[in-house]
Amino acid sequence: MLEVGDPLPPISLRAADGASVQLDDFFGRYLLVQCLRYYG
Amino acid sequence: MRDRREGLDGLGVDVVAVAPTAAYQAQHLMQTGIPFPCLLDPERNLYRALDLGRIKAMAWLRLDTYRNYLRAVGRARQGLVSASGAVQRPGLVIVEPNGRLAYIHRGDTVGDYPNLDGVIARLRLLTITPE
Repeated sequence: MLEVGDPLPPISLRAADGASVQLDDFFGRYLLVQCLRYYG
Repeated sequence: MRDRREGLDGLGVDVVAVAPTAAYQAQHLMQTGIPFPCLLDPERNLYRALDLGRIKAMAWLRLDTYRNYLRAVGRARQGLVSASGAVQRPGLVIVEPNGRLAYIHRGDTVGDYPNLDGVIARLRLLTITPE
């Protein structure tokens, strides 16, 4: 299980238009990631 | 979170939201002013990496579990959430610029998100540059 201090592994996600994106595309500044159950 | 975006930007913090489903709703939110990317994780790659599976059996002893679950059932009828998504543990993480985790909140039950003021206070401490 990942803990504080561990590096996030490469994570493949999708943009809302269906394009493939990598979470580390968003690295570079501090990043707040909300993991929701659903949008709404 | 929408209202706090400007302050977070001033701290040097970017925000992304991730949910397993509902691409059309993610598009709708971004088109109507959500000031950060709404991403999708249909394979739950991020959720698995963060050990955010289904809520545990003990969570069903909590009243807020039922309240939030029933709310999700209503959303399921609108196609916003799957049956498995209704019992998905939520989470929130802060990732350092180098990709390391600076903070992890794993929700104990559905709808269990950390207090936003506390998260922002933590971000302030993390982003302070010693003079």
